[in-house]
Amino acid sequence: MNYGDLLRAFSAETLLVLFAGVIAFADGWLARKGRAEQLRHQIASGLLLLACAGAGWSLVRVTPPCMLPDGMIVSTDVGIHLKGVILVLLSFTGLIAAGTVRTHHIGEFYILLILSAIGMFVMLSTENLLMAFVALELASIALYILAGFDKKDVRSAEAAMKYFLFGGVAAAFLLFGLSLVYGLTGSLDVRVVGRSLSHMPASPLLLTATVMVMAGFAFKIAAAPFHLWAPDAYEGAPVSVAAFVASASKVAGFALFVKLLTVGFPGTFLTRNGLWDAPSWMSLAVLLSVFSMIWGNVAALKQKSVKRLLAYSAVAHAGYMLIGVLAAPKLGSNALLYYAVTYALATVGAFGAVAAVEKSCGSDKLDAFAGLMRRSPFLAICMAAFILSLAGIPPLAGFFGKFYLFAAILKMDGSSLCRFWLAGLALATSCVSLYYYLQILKQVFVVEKEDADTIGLDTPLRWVLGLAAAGVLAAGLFPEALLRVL
Amino acid sequence: MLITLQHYLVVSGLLFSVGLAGVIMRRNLIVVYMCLEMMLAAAALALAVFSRYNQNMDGQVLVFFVITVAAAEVAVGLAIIVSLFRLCRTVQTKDLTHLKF
Repeated sequence: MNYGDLLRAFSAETLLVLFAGVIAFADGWLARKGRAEQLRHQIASGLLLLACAGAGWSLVRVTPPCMLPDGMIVSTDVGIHLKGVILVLLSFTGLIAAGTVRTHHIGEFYILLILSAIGMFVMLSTENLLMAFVALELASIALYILAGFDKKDVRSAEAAMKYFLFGGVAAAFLLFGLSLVYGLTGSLDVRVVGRSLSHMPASPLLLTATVMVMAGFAFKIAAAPFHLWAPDAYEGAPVSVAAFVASASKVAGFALFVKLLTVGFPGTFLTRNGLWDAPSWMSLAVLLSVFSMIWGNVAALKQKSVKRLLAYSAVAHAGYMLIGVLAAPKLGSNALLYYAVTYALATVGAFGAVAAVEKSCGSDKLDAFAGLMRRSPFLAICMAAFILSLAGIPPLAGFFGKFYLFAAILKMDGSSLCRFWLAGLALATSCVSLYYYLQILKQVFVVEKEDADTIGLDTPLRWVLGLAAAGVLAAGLFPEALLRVL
Repeated sequence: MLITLQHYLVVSGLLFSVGLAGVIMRRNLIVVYMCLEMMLAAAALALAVFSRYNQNMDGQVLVFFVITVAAAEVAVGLAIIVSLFRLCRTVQTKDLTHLKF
């Protein structure tokens, strides 16, 4: 491989970096000219869209399947499709931000979004522990800054602080676990690690490594009991940032971790009898999944703020997705990725709707959504699509996501992992979740509000909501099409 | 006395545990940051030791990246502390109570 091939393999990332530079230059110039902030928002978000389109084009046309030594970059078809999904989520986030973010540093906001997306790109295409760590940190550090972007609002600063502290601890756990893995196997290439670990006897060091990697993983995806940062970060951060954290970083995180765990930790056993006769990371993942499904759904029941409610529902969804991680070694990860992608679409849309409501009434409490059907029918119908998809009602995408996940865990053989209990618990907690999802829809459609003013949607937000709702519906009507490419 | 791999690992483990205990128990955000850095340093020490033990350079290369990432992280972290301090004039964890349901 020569440098020309390397540049082609990285063409999408390179284009994004170039556009980040263009945004910095253009916005700096406009700011010096003293132009209005709205114009700067429009130009920066327009350039962001252009960057996404260019990167998407280069993903389709230029990027060849390639492999660097030591698994540094392994670009696969699934990885390229997921990068496309990240680009879609990035452009949606940019459009939501254009109308809602209060800041004077407009160019920087979009640049950081792009940098974070580049980190996610590398997460999707690496099979090397070094690259995985650096990419994860690139994505996370940009998001820490973005979470604190509203400098007038103490809640934004506090959200950034909590997100940063928990993220930092997670990174330290993950790194310590990875250093032990490196010590045991002598390599940072995930495939080599997997080969050496698969016939290594269980040792305290290996168990410590597994536990630490899983703890770091659980922090990053906000699985209970490591989810404490999520509600605060989602509530305090600017809505568009919360949308990006909840959607794109979840997709990239799950894609990276399912790759690391299935390739790198194939068979390290906790004990060799009965219920726990499965790789030890699986036993830990079962515990995390059970905790997340119960804790997330129960805590969401009593939330008054819709952003917090979506955060706890994100914890619960992390629990469902962990079921997909468990099924991945046997049945492949496409059920998990389908769930992650459709969940991301519905979440980004739901946060977009919250952004619209918050902009017009200054609150994201449940009662701010009262009478939404009358105030803005379009917004209400889109919100219904997102919420029903999150709840898993057919024919929306969320239903098929849950269906494939639960089918996958039931298809696994043997008595391992108490799979019937797990599927049963997932079904039961999904029923519990209906209560709080319908609570939102009750406000939207049933409750009336006297002094209801209509909510005006600006055009970009209207497009985001419409496209996300159409995507959720299309992925539900034609699930096979999406499953085939993941 | 011969210093072996185990000795290094015990030191590294201790550093990590002290750092984690500090993150959980200390009340001042700046001290919490220092403890966070200690956890990363513990991992870096383990990587350097394992690199020598495994007779390849991968671990030491990763240490350089870890140091860079830690520097970037602390720059962002201190900026967040400054922005928090400007708004509520405190760097104590017990005062972070604006976000509650």
